[in-house]
Amino acid sequence: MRTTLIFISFFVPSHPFPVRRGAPPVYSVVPTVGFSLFAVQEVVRKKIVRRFARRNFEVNVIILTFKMLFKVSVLLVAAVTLVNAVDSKDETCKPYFDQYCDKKPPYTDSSLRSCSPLYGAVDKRANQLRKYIKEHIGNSFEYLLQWANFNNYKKDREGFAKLYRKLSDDTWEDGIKLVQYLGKRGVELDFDSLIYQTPPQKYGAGPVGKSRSENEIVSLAKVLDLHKQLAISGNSLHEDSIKHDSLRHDGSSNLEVEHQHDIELAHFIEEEFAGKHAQTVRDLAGHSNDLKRLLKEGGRDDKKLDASGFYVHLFDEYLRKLY
Amino acid sequence: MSGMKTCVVLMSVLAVGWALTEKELQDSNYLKCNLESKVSEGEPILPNTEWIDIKDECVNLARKQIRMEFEAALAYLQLGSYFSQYDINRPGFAKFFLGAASEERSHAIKIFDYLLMRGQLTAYHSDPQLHTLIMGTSVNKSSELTKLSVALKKKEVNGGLEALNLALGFEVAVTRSIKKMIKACENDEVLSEKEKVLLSDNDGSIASNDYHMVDWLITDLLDEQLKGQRELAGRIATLYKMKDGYGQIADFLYDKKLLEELNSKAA
Ligand SMILES: [Fe+2]
Repeated sequence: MRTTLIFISFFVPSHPFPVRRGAPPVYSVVPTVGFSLFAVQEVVRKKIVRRFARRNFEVNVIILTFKMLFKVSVLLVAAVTLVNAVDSKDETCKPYFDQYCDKKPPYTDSSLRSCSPLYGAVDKRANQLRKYIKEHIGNSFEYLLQWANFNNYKKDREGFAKLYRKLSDDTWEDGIKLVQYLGKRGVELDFDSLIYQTPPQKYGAGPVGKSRSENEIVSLAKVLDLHKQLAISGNSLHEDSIKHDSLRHDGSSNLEVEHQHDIELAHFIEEEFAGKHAQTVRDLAGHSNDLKRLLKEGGRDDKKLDASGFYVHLFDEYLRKLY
Repeated sequence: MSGMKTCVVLMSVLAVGWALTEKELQDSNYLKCNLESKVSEGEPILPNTEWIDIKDECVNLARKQIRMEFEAALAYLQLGSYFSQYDINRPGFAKFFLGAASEERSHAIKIFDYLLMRGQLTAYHSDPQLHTLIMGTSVNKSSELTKLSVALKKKEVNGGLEALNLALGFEVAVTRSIKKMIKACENDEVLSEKEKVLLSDNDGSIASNDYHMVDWLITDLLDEQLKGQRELAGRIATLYKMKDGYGQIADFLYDKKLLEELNSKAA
């Protein structure tokens, strides 16, 4: 009974002995190990006493000692790994104040660190989130250039302009929403990476200066691709945030819990982006196919009667009323 | 021999037929995308460009101004994010600067709008520098934005007062730039070749002073600019007086006041 209890106590990780961030694991291991050694000794002693009453106890004692040694080492390894199975990020806040409250300084202002809101795996997604912000701001800017492009007097496509302006405003707002989200979850924006980061290549905007004044169908296609990239990045953020937490070996034989799962991040991406992106991408694809059919019919007899200008005007009127 | 002839005739008929269907197929798959390049004979009837009389120098400076507004937007975005952090925790200042970021973007859009009204921006992507600023693929260590981001990373910006002072500094630079633009737009001494032609063609009836743009710059852009500066200066003065002797509590209280103010303005 007692052995069972002792055994169970090894499997209650970290909680019996508070671990605080930055403290070497030995602080928490020492009491655990000391206690377990004591318990094991006790068990060995009792068993040996019992066996003394029997015959050929010498052999038995040797076997038993080996068995116990084996068990002790197994238990020790288990104790050490489980006690250390704490993500260094899962810090506690109270010990700081226990340490410093109502004590006369020698503490400095900087030794009073800030308590953080970090938990889960949002800090592991920090770079992805930063890239996502960058994509939003970059895309918003591209859409704004498209807006200007269709708003100049030569193009004069009010419908297209309205569509792109709406997309630009919306994407900019989402970028700000993401900046606020980082603040909420305790992830630093890292401003450098925001301003200077290579935009995505597959669906991203092309190299500077290469694209000339763009026509209606090509711009729709381009904006569709750009927006699809936002949806794809959202997907991969979500995918990574619903992974299972995993155990990881550090340099020595210690095990650490690696948090991968972050339900709040997954929820945020779903709620704010997933549905909206799917709808926008669908709308843009629909528009481009409508326009393609119109261009094909309007421009077929390109020598005598070219109706594409007329058709595109009608399509632009449709967009103007829609957006 | 006649068999041979029939064979040749048949072959050529087949070849002609094949070529015709190919042509038809090509025609039916033809997708005319670019409406501005007309294949049909005759010149395309486009509006003449005589109505476009905005000065080159004005346009260049306006484009630079767009760049500057976007730069300010990104700077305020950084400041807003800085005050959103848990260890800084100033939601009022965060909201203030994130709002300012969107406002700067709207200033840039305003200038876009004006240039479009004056017949400009007919070529897409004509400002690679602006594009680099936003989409930026190269690190430009000397830029103001980078300097700000480095200062914020090292937590060298000390609270709301310093951030407000930084913002006032940006705005003063923007104001100066607008004034420079006004000067260039009303200047009738420096003329481009096109402007000289316009001037001589019309017996000087087109004055090279761009009254409209000057008026717009003053009554719209500059007006907003000066009011914004006054607002910042007022906030700085109040917070400075509060902080005198009360550092942390002044920041804390002012931040809450700012948040309340912005929330009630939004409602
Ligand atoms: Fe501005």
